[in-house]
Amino acid sequence: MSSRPIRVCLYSPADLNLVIGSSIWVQAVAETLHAGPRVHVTLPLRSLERRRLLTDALRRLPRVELVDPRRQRRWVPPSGLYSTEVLDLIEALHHEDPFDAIVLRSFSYCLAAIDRPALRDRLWSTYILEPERDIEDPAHVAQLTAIAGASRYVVVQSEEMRALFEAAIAAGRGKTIILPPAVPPPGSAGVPAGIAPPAPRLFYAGKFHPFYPVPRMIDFTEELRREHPGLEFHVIGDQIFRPAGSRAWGDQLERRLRTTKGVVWHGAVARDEVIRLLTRGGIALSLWDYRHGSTMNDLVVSTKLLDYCLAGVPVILNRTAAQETILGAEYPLFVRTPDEALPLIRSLLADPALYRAAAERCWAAAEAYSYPRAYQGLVPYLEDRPDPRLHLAARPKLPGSASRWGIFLASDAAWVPAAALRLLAQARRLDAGIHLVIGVRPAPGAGEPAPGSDPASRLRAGIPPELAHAVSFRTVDDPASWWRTIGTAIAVGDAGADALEIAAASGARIVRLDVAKLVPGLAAELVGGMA
Amino acid sequence: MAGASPRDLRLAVIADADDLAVLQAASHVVAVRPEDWVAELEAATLAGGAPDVLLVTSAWAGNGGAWTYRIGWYAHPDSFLHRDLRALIGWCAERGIPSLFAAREVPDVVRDFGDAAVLFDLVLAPDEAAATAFRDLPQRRGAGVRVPPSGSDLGAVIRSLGMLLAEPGNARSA
Repeated sequence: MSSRPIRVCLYSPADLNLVIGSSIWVQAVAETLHAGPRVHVTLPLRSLERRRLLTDALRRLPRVELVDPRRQRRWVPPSGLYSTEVLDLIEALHHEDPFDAIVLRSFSYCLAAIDRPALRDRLWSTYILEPERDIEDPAHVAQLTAIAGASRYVVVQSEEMRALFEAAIAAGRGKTIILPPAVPPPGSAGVPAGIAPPAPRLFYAGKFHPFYPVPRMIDFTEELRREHPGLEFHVIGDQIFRPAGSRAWGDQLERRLRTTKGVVWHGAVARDEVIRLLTRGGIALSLWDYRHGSTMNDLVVSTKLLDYCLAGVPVILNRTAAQETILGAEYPLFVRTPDEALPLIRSLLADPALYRAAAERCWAAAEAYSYPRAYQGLVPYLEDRPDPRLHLAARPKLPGSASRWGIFLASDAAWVPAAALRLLAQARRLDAGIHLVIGVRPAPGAGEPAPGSDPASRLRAGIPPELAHAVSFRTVDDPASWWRTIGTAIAVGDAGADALEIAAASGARIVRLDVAKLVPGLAAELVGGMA
Repeated sequence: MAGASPRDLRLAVIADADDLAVLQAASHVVAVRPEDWVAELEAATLAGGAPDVLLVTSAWAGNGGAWTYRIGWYAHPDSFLHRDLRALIGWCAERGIPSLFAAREVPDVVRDFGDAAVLFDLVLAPDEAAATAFRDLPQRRGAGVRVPPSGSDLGAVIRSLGMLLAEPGNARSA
């Protein structure tokens, strides 16, 4: 293995003076990258340091270098450097000592960065799907397509987000990689070694926006204190949503945070301190009100949730696919609406066994999202740099793929239906219940086939109606995803070795069928599945 | 359509094998495929045989495996956004053909098929609990959720299709 340092520039427009999700994300990603022993992280700051809650934690990492924004501009406005100034700064740093990767967060920054040739080929465009932008707007799709096309990788938070991005933006297929949020590993300094004890305490940490129904949580506190007079609601964070012309929501919330009995408002607190508070025990609330936010939030996992898990407290949270992935579908504290949380809090306060079971599930879940584990997911892209096709093919197989047999052809020649029939007949001798999928490479420049009108479907001519349901013809413009749906790859003779290598990397079973002699030309048409 | 005999009904269908057999016995079925339903349905329409209803069940494979990953929920580009299903429903909607989603009595049907169900004019739920859960889906914009009086028997559903679609509030009521 090379000992050459891997230089990574990490930038997010988050203001690290604030303790909010997007700034904590910067700390988590820096820690994740730092888990790679050869990785050196350069982290330009958007704003001058006024509070050092996060930056001090970053300075403790020996291979993370913070870059003062005054290096770019003598007088930095309170809002921080403008995007063009940030990109100028990154270009200057790259010119001095080239980066291997530039991890750049936010849609607008990435859109601007792709116009800079020096940055483009090492750009990891990160979290460019933003809930407030319309992914069905053709103009926005065109911009996302431009970013995906020009970036080395597109980085998303979760498998669900990758599926959404690759479904919407064909240019991102095969180059979208996952960088999940992450937390310190169990056993490291300051990390609890087990679950927190039951205690009559509720927690919320984060920003104050109608999407996070903190006023409703205060209602819960008031109601529950009639039954549990010692109950406290500990609230962490200081960013209150006050849009121009409508300050009432924020003003009223702030008043309630300051004056409601039982509410303990800590303001901004460093992440380590948040964990320390949580480990005293209690119940964390991670509730969303969909009337005030995008359902795209369902596809992501927040660092905050992982912090709750790490501290070993039970979390009451919305049921989403991504959160089910972490905690399991049968985790007992999922809700659909904020109001469903109240009876669950009552149950937890009354039932220590339920508290312990839920807390243990949360605590165990955090391990999978530790910095070293998250870094392992990046190793192929940062360190190894082998054939990326193999890594992309090796994404997890989907349920149901076992009965799908696939073969990928370069051609849509007239003999393909006959070949399909022979393949089907041969395959069914081995497994009667199979579905044969014949993937065909798209014509150059053809793009994704229109729904219901796949050009490959004309190969269907010649398939008898009684077998039609067992065969699909598909123009495959995204072989990396396609292989995830195929359980068995068909090999014919010695042809298509490249395809077989990729099929094997995908975990597909390889079955050799002897039809090459029967179908002249078939062997010559087998191609590399990811080519 | 309300007065048509079930045997005369033309259904564009996506269903797993058992349900497909029941539907084929009860009415005239076109089992559409994701790769060529446009040509098939347009040819049928030109021949005077346009479907009366699009009926999709909570099928994992769908028409012999042709719709695998396109109806139920998977973190996969084929599944996300339900591109194929949306296009099929849209084609039907443009022609005034109502779309029905029949959620079968299987565990977690709302979780696994909720994103698909919300695209349809009418969702037939297996029980009241599932009906409530379908109605509460945040993206829901279809017209109605019903528990068919005939229960999960798809043959009976076909026989009462006219009545189900004619219920006030169901889009494109027959």
